[in-house]
Amino acid sequence: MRTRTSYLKQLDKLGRHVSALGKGVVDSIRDTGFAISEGNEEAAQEVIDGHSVSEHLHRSIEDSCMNIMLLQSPMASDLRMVTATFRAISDLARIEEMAYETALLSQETDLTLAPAFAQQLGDMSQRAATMLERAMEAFNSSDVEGAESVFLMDDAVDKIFDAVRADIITLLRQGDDAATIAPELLTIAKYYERMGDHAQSICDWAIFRATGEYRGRFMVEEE
Amino acid sequence: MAESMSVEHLNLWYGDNQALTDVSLVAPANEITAFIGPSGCGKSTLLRCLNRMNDRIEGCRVEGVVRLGDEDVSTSDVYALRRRVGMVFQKPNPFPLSIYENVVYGLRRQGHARKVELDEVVERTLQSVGLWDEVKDKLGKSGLSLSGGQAQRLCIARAMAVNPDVLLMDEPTSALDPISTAMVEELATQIAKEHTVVIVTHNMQQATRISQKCAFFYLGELVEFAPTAQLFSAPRDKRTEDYLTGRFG
Repeated sequence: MRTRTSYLKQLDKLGRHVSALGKGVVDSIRDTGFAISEGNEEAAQEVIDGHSVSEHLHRSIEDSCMNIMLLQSPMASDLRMVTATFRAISDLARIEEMAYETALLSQETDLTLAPAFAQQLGDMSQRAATMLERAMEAFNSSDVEGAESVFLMDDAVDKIFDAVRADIITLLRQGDDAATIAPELLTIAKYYERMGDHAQSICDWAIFRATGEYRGRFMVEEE
Repeated sequence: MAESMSVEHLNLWYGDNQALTDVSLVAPANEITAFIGPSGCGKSTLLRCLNRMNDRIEGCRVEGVVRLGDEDVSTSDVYALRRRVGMVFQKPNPFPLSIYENVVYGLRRQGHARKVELDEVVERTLQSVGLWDEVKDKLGKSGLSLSGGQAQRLCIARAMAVNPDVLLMDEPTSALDPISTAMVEELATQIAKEHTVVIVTHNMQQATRISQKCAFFYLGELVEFAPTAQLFSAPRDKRTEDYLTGRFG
């Protein structure tokens, strides 16, 4: 049964790598929030420095999924785990990419010009991070209820985004100094809103992993 | 129009040993139904019940009903039944006759003797199993001279020559190479367009490739019977899950 044991170890390793990638991305989102709301440049730099590691881990997980599919022909819950992982890490990679770009924007943008926005964006970052954290917990433990609870959290993020967008339009109309960073503020807000959408997508895959039923909604790529 | 095949509350004993327990299922017409499960789980035993191949086994006792369409097969003439429910075995078993005589064997037993008619059936049937071009110039040669894959297709041609309602296949590709396996799988898919096919297989990928419905057996019990995609992606019973993921024992 050595072959079987090796296969089970591969699945276990895959699960641990997904969990590690998820945790890393959650930390990255939180760090971008600290960088924006507290001006913590070290936090932004950590996200930037960790980008290539995340990319490497993402590719490594993709390769593992392909290898398991090709060489082990998984069935039933194993098949669902591998296929759901293959799809969920695309969402994770997209979130990480947005966190990386947010960290770069935080370094390039003088956010002291708009402190109120910095606080709102910091709030959005924490909410997006919490959504992803719970989505990954649900994914890792095949927890349908946990996944469903994340969908409810997205409304709050969407509402903050709508409010921030309205405030940015006002800012542009006023035409003061802070208006010069309006495009960056809007981009960052949009990133957090999209992170919430991708966290929901991971929840769809968590439910698929648990039940075999994919309820996923079509996600329009707007960015 | 093909007939479905069904079993209702089927129990089977070999002496004191109960090999099948309260099995009920329907193998729909024009579909391939696959039976899977570990060795000794009863899947081949059930297959043999469908055309009463167990009748001759000493000490074998069957309770319950097997139906071909609406007809209870226990009341049928057994030879008439086997003309309507053909069977292909794990090991290709061409008769020690010519290729031609292998194909027309069933027809001759039914009393068909006109050479023109038999010639037409031989060509049509061998073409349908993809063997005609390979053997048309040596129809008088022994069926035993064929390769494993060719011999299995000859056996399928022999079974199909009498135009049965149902074709039973008991691990028909377990002794074949991948190319011959692909041919037999393609053939089973073609046959199912006009007939009912029931296949026993240990090859789970084969079951996923060709069957529409799949039954998992364990210790003589039908554990789960579901559309194939569902059974292999999201089985409802833990025993099915454990078997498919190799976590038994």
